[in-house]
Amino acid sequence: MEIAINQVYKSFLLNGEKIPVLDNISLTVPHGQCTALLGPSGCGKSTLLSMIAGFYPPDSGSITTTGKVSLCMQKDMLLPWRDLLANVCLPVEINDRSELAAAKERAKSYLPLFGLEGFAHSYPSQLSGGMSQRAALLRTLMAGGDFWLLDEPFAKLDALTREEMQSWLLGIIQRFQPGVLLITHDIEEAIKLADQIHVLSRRPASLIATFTPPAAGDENGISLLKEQIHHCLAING
Amino acid sequence: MKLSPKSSRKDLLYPLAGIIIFLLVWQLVASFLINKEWLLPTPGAVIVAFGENLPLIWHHSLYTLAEAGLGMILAVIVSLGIALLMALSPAIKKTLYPLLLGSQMVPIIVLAPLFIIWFGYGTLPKVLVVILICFFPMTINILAGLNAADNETLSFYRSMGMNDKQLFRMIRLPLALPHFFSGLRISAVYSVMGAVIGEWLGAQAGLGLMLIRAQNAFNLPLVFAAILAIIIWSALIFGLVKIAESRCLKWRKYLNDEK
Repeated sequence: MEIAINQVYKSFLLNGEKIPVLDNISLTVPHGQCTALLGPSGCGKSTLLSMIAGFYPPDSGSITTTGKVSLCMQKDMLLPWRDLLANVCLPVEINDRSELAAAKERAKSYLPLFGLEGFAHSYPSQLSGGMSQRAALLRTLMAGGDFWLLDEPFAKLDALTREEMQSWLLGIIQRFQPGVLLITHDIEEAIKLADQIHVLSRRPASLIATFTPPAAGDENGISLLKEQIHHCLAING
Repeated sequence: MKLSPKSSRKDLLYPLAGIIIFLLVWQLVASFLINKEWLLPTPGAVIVAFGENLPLIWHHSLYTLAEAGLGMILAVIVSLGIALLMALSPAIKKTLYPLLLGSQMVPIIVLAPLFIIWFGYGTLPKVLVVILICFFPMTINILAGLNAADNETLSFYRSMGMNDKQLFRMIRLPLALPHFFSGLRISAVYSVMGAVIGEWLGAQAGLGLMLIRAQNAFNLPLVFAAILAIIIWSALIFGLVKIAESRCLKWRKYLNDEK
């Protein structure tokens, strides 16, 4: 299973003017790995993700996905009138209601792992920002996708919570082994979580480099990579 | 937001103070400046008239309340129907919008006598006036609520696998519910007044008829007692709607809590 993105171009019309957003992007997201798309804010990363999710097609080129994708956005997208359990089981509810009871049991068993124990019947407005985002990820898991498309899932959180969430997410990814496409503008986040990092330029985004982060303990390698990425964003970004 | 006992006491204090000051000024003006009961009765005289005529007020209230209640229920049905149609089809929305607005621009005081000419002195013309007054705020609010979901949200749930029917039932309809209640609250305030206007122009019973009879008899304490009854009933209906609202929108009470 993989997501194959092949020579994708995309532009949008803004006030009658054609704004190119993606410029010949080709890359592959393999299953069982975390692939990061790193680029400056507003470069068009989310546009690519939206096309993988099927919101709209590319102008040219192709995106082929084998396996099911499920999406997790920057906003938690929890429905305020549903309690946590009903929110995270929504993907099951809309696709096969007969599975709902079993799904609720399964979701309940995941609550401790997602730091949401005791909140099964809380409304989203009663959850903290970090909890809401973890609930959104639990919903992504419950959707049963082979690939998780994570669109800057922690961008709205404060720095401290974000770091905690990154370490936590690493554990979740290792446990469930989905294919992950992580969109981020945070270099450290990409290095910490991804097996492979694709760096995109400023808009119109094109692929400028691909890196494979060193092992977690290799401080020298990590700081070297950080420098390399900074350098390549400074030149092409 | 959870209210501390202190702030909830304050919440009661201010409106209460406003009412007391109003009554005090009224009492002073009525008893010292004017001092003619047939011109402006004192609040005390109004209370006395209210107490003495309680059976009469009760009798007429039943008619008015029946008209207001029936009108409200029908207005809910009408506004739900219109708003749904308008939300589902832009063509219908464009067609109906000027008619909707127009319906609110014709003075009720002109329409009500026409209703009486067409439908007689019974209940129907009063109910029609109530519907005409009440359906508009609800229709506009429900429509706004049904269109409140942004594209990002709809795309997200569509990618989750929702079809249009599910989007409507699980996203747009619940999103419209708070808007519906905002409209219903406005309608609740106007409903009794609408029925009274209907009765004012010709009726066999009701607070409006009672008002006009008392006025013709220069029984101003009774006029004010009838007004008091209208206020009490309107406030009660408003309160009922508020209770229904907080029951239906339980999740909302946490919205103002600190995140």
